[in-house]
Amino acid sequence: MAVKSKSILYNAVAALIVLLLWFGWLFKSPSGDWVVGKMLPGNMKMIDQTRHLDYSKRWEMKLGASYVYLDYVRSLTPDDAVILYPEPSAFFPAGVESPFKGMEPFNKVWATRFLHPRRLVLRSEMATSPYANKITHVAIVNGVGYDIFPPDKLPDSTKREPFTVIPISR
Amino acid sequence: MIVFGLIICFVLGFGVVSAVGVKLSKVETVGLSMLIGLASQSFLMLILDSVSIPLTAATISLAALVASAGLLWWRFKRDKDFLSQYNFKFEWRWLNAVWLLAMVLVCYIEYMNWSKTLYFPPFDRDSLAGFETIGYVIAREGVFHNISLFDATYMPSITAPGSYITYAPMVQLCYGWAYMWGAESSKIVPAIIYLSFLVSFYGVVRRSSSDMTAAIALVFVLLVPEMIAFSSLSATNVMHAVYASLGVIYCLRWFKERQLPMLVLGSLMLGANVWARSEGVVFIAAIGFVMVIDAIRTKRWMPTWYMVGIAATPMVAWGIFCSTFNLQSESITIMHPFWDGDKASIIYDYFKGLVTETTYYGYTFAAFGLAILASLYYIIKRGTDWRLLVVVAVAMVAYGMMLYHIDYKWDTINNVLAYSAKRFFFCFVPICWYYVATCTPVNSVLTWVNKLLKF
Repeated sequence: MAVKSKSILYNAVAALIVLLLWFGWLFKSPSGDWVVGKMLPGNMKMIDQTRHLDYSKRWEMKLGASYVYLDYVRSLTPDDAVILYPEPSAFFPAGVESPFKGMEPFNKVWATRFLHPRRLVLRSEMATSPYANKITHVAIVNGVGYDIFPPDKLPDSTKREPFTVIPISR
Repeated sequence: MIVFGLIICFVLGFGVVSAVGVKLSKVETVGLSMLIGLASQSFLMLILDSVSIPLTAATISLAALVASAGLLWWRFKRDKDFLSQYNFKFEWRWLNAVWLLAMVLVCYIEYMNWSKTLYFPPFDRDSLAGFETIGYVIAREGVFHNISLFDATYMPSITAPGSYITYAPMVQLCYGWAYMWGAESSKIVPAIIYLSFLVSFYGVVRRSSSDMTAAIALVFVLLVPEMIAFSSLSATNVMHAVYASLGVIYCLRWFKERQLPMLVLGSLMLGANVWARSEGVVFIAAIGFVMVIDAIRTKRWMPTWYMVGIAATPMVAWGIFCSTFNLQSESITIMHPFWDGDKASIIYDYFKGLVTETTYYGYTFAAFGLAILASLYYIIKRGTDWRLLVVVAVAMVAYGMMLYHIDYKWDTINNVLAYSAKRFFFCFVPICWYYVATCTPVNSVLTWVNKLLKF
């Protein structure tokens, strides 16, 4: 019995020391504070606030305009579409603040994650791609891409949306 | 649905662990079975794809169940009573307040980390431009070597230097497997790998010390800022670090226990390490180095061959697979010897910066340094506690040399150091904390405290 009381006392003292070390040093240290005080609780707070969102909205929350654009292209094209896809310069025009900042929607692999099984063809690949003569749609970003249409098939200038995908009628 | 996939994966891992015949605690068995199961299953996927069997949840599960049955039957034939080691006996007298508090903190941190991992979809650049998308396309197309992304006529950039086409395939295949089972996202893979790592790490530190020490070590591993932040992403680095560090630790356990199954287990983990990321080969080289020293002393070379043979198998298999199916990209390796003082200096300075600051790795390297200082007497006078230090040193030097011999055609050396190299150091985090927790002076003090607190 005496041994047990001693063990309880030792454990109580040890618990006190551990708690003092945690709150007096570990959680105040830069790494402890960042992990336990900021990064993880911050994420949990965001999870609690956005728990009602479905997975698509969570993608949007993380990828912003890039996801919205790719999801829009997906919704307007069939699975077997072959899309003439914009070059990086169309996503990031010089001197303009791009809504795609920090993301890589221009990267074909990156975009494939959201557009598969649709096939993407870049303008720079038109000479070599086996899909070049099978293009069914043209993706428009920042208003770039309309120049592919012959003048008689060019959409009315008032109906030219800056972000869209247009079917090519053959 | 993914739960069934995970159960089959666990059974496969348990089959491999059982066939190896190593005596593990229940905690170690649970953690390692899941980790080895995921690695083994992705290896099976590569075999199925090689013989043109479509990759679906059904074919993969069937292959995994057949393999599990064969492995368990083999173990059962050798030892009909092998499951008795997992008999559950409740014993509470080792419990103490320090362990309890540490485990509460561990569970709290991991609960938040697990939630974060599963809640947010994959969004990091390297995943969407590589691993995640490749996995997604594998699941949608039911093949691996001839997925549309690997068709150079459709995707000309896939053969560019540094392309993902030649990256070790474990993570991509695991992501594909998760999508085949209908997972909402592939993030279940990093979530389950990190959780299994925590369980395994606890188990292996406990094997070398006590429950209390293991719980304390786990707290410090979890509080490494950069590593826990990356553990919730789809990037391969933390998953690689899990296999690399546990492989090194179990191989080093072999020097203490001298049981071949322990070495086989460590080698399997090292094999999985290079199956997750190719640069993991430096850990095979580092363990090989200390094993050669041991072989020269003991004149027993067979264990070294076992280790190299097992650990290198995935790498060789991947090489054969790539050359058979023409998965090639432009080489980024400089094969001839050369001297570039500026390049060497950049790498050295960056490494020095990483181990001397606390922003990314918390107190890992500071505690490791102090543990080395405290262990100097045992290292010099008694010849103990040194092998892990040699492994860390050789692995760091080998990795530095690897970076030095890369021709940075697709990116700058500074970018590669700031991203890939920084994350490669995750591998050292569990290894360093294992050393801190189990080196003779720390272990002696904590064992004494543990006895004092025993009921």
